[in-house]
Amino acid sequence: VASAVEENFLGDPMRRGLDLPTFIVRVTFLFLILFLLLPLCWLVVRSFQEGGVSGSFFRDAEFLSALSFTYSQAFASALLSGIVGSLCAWVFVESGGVFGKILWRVNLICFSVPTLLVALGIIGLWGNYEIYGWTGVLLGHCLLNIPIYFKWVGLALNSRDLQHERAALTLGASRAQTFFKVVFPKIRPILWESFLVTFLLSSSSFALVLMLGGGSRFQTLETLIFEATKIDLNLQRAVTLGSIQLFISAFLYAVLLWKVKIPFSAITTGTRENCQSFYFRDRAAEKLSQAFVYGLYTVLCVLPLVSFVILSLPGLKQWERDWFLAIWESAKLALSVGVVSSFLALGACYAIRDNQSLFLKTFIQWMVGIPLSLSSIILSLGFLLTWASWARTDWQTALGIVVVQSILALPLVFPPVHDAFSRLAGEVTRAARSLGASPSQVFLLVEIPCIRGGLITAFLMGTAFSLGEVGAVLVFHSSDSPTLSLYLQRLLGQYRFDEAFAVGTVLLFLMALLFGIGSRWEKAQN
Amino acid sequence: MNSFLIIALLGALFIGRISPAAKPVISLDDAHLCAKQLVETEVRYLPGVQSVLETWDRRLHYLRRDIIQRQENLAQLEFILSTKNFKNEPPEHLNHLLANAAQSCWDFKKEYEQHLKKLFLFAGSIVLFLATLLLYLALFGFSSPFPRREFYLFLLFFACPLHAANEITVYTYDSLAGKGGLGPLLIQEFKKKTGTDLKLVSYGSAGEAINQVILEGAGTKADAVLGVDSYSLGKVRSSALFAPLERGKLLLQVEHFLQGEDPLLVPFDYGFLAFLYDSKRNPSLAKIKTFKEFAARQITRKNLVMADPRTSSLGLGFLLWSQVLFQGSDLEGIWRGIAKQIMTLTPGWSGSYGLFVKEKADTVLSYSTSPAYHIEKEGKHEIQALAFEEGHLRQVEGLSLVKSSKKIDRVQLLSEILLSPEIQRQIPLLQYMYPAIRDVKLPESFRGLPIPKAVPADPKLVHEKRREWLQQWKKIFSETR
Repeated sequence: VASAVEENFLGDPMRRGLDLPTFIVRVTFLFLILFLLLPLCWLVVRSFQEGGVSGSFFRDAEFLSALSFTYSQAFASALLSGIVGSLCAWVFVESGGVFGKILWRVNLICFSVPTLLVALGIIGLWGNYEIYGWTGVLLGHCLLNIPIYFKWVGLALNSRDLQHERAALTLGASRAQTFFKVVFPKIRPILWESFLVTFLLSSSSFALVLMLGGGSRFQTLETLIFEATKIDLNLQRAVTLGSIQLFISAFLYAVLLWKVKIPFSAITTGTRENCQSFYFRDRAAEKLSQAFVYGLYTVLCVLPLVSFVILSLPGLKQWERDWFLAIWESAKLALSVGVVSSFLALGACYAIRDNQSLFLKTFIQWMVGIPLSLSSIILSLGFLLTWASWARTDWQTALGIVVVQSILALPLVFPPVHDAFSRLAGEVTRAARSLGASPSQVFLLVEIPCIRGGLITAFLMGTAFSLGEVGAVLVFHSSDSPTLSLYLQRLLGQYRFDEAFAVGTVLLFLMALLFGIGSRWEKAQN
Repeated sequence: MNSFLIIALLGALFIGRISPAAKPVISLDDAHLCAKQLVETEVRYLPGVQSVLETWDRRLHYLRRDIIQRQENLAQLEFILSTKNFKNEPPEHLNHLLANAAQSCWDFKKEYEQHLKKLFLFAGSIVLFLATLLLYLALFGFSSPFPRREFYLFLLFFACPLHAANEITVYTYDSLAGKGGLGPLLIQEFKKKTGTDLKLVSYGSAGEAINQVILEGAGTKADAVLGVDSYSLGKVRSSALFAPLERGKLLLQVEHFLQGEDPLLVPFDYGFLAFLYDSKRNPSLAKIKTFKEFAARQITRKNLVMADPRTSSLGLGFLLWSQVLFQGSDLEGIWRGIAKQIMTLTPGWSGSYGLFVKEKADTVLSYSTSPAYHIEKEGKHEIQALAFEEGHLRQVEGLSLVKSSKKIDRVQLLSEILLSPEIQRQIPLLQYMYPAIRDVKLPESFRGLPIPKAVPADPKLVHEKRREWLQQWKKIFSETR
């Protein structure tokens, strides 16, 4: 299989002319250049204009304080989540347990929950205590990040070969030595990847810091950008801050690319196998570890969401027509985002597979991954200002939302398509070609059916992402019929908390459902 | 049949394009000609057009109703024209009627075009769908594993019609536009009195709505912004995107202290900033009589929530209020005292008020009239506002016209409706603020509320000093972690 994948990635030398895959790659390139690269370049160029990046800007106390808080809280969040999440993954893989299996499934919901709901859940559970500030931000980010570690590290641990560990133990190595000398090197890349991804996500988090940061006591670059964009209308400052954030993120992403050849490839791989653990001394130690680690996970990740759902119960009775309209509006946008983002992921995968140039491959990977650490406000702002004269009517602004959300969803929808491509054997394609099929026929009749599972998972992931995303909607919306996430915000603004919580639960349910279907589908495909 | 309809539609579009009604010129001859042409167009094409459109969009119901109303207007116009013989300029009321008729014709044409676009889009989608289907069948036949049914359903999903509009668009904030707010009542009244739809697009706050207009510039879709508060007027004025409405007659009925408000604002309600507490949970707070005492009170834990001055006009109002009272004395000490009590700042009023009501905080910055909400909705009398001897800041809300609007007359009508006794009577129970016009009977829940002494404050100061105050406030606030 490995040789087939290797061969497959060398590309198909028989492909000539403008066939369907080439067309998809070109459209993807054009799309990313026009709607990602151009707005970002515009932002960077503008940030060097008068009043932008300068010595005095870097001496600004507010900026420096926000910069240090942004990255210190991101580091602390990623580290803390890493410790808890990796522990959870280790205990789950080594000892399992019924509760562990339940948490593994619940993890899917935590993985997909929008930040606004996280903030509300934490306020609902711990709002009576003085959590606003460092504590609140850390709690929020832990809820979002721990599931990432739990899933990725869990999958990596699960798919490892146990023979080496058994051999080490037989040769007299202690359990600790076996772990640090044998297991740790195997999972180090995924730990790196998880750390950098959670660090980048935490550094660009916005709603959580706004709601749990306790006002201007704790500010991040993202909240400063929001303040400059939406409150002060100081676009120069906003783009300068955005550019600085972009440079730092690009650097960190380059580190990720250097450490991990194809990022996110481990997100969806691996299968759970039951095997006897040899790391716990006895049954009691195993149970104690389970109780401690699962208890920690429950308190940090599950209870806030449970409290949120409980708070939403009174509001669920107040179901009204507007909810359907919001679901309908969300569905239209989300399905469009699902289609566009999976199309882009498909194009990116083809480009990575067929391009011989390492530079182009790296460039595409960068384009696919950079939205992970990009503020949706900044991207929307860049898009709005680059294409402002065009977006006038409701359907045009809706298109703007679709474009921005599709780009932001790329890091999420790329892995399943990429995985599906990795499993696609090159011989099949070559056989079809040698039997006389045109490139377009091979694409439609051989490749698409083979990667259909990955594409559908990507589509569902993109759709679920769009349902919960609110930044782009806030920048673009000009319609009286809002999406579900915007409707939730409006209900909060209208002091209709019960209904807002209930809408949040509906949103949570829809997202979990989509992620669940995507995950099951993928499992079936595997 | 279909080709006949398409030709009919194209003909209607062509006539609509060359019609003098396309430009809203208020001239007797133009209006008459426009009326005649449009009546002819309708007679010839509408039955066919309607029979098609009715089948695929229920929203056309509104178009039909508009057409009937317009026909009535035109009949009235023709009657006046046939019975009167004007030598010179027609009287003002007739001019107004003609203007309305011309505007209505123009709107009708625009809407007609929009529906045509929808129809062509629909036809285009069908053609695309059929072409894709044919291409697919030609290439692969029926034996392919491709999910055909889902694919067709998906195509049909995207072929659904887009929303058309004949309305005025007003930007506002969430709590005004939402259920139980002033918005739904205003939409209903506006439709009843003008026959036109009022579209409210809401944002987190009025400040955000103004910013959206500024971001969109002269090409903004907004005709007006509703809920502009007195502290945001500096921004409104400096943007040069807003224009004054005709306020002469309107101001005669409003409270005398509102008559001096900026010409860019038609005020429709006002209220006083106040700190609220629950007298059952914190009876000791009732003893506090001054702002100074409130700022200096000893606390065991942080228990005050308020809207962030960076994001909310209410929070900014707090800065102005304290500036007016303590500028030149111990302003820093007051801010430090308040900052020490603050548990958290929320982006808007509703967030902080929600924390207070859910008993996560003991005191909140809101309005002196907010307790009326709890009396009306929950029968609770425990929520009370602290009345300070130094006085309270008055916040005024109003309507501002966007300069680039092409429907100024309708925005003017909206301002008249807003200040009509029917709407003003509802303000206390919808906005929980005081109505702008005089002699409105307040509901029972408002009777027991203390009416605070208003402190004289210049809202223009907010615009000039905002940045400086915010810097000072942020510095003090972050020092009191």
